[in-house]
Amino acid sequence: MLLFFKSSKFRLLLCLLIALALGVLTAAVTHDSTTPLSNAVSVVFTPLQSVSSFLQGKLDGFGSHFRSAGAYLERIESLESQVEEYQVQLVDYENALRKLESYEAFLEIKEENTNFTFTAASVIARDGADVYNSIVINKGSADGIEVGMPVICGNYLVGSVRQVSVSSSVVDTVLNPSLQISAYEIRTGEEGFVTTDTALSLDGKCKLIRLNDDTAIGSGGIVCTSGIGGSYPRDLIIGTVRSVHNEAADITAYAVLEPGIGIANILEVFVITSFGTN
Amino acid sequence: MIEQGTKTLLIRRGVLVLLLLGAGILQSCVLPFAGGFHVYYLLPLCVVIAMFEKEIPGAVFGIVGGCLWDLTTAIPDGATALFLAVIGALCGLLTRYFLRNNLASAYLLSGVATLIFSVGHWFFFVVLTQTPGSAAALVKFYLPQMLLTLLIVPFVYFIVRAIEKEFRLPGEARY
Repeated sequence: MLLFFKSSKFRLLLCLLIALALGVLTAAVTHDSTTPLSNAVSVVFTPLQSVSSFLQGKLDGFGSHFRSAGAYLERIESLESQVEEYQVQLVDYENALRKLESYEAFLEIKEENTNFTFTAASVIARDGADVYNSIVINKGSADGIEVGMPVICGNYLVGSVRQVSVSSSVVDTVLNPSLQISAYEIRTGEEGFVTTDTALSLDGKCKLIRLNDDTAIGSGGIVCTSGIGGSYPRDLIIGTVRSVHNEAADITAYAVLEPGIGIANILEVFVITSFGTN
Repeated sequence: MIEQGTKTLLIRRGVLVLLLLGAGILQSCVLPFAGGFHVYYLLPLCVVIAMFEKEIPGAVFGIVGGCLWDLTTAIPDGATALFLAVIGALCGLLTRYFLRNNLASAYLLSGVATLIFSVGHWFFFVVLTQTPGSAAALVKFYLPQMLLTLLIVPFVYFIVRAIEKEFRLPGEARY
């Protein structure tokens, strides 16, 4: 204890107490309740207080922002649920539109060919290992499907049935080189066969072969089935001519076609189960 | 009354069949996986199941997986089932006698099986059509699908391993 009183800490404490006492006395004398010390301190601390006040105001504002954010959040949630609802309606609308377009085209072809009979089918699977994009549909022999029947999507030829089980069938598309479809170009009337090769198939294209080397077919020409051979009805659209080339092996020419429909994206098709002559 | 061991075995194999069904559906999914490519989910799954179940059940699971696959292909029915049965039996045998049952072995066996399947498919259904672009088909179509298939091997391995651990019979090897 004696050591404490002899220490510099005690002296310092004593000095502080004396200074405070002097301050109290000065304040009592000047009547404004301030002391030189408090003034001096205020000189130092006022800017800091301003900063503090500014920050306080900002923090209060921040708090009010938070309160507003809560309100905004509610509003956003409400709007998001509305958007979600509209999106669902839009999806329904798009689906209905797609089906309507498909059925309109189907109705058109049905009206033009009253002797055709159809079976509607959905694409349920694809053979991932098949480079030629074969598809599986949900109709089989129980629905009257047979091997070789043409498969269409709207006015466009998709391919023909290759394999039939009771409840499903595998369809070879026009991108399969095993298909040879007799066809003609509608503007010039030139006839040939539509087939493809692996290289073109990989690019999603097929070709109209056996054309004369002086063919008048040009880019943009539309190629349809000719009905020759009886495997396919006449006038189903196969695709559009993109370019014409001469065969390297012989004196004929061929036209590269882009199928009228995206084979990789079709979901609904019709199988033509019978087609007689009109 | 079914014994507990038999019941566990039945449940385990039932779960594996369900897994095969799921993989079959996923594989034949209308929408492709990435960049227009499909993944052969059934191939590594049959291989990994055979690694755990060994040769005879492995072959049977191969047949089940192959039949599922055959539903969506235009190749003769049963061809894939036969291929996967052979692969299943071989993988089961190799794992019993020569290889450890681990991820590296799963990669090795799945890789070889995928390679044989892809090259075989390419040869029989592309090269023999004798049309231009066969080599392009191998590089642009089969190779990416092989690589994508190999990407899923770890997932398949750990899923099957978890099932085998969950329904392990007394005295069976630990994984």
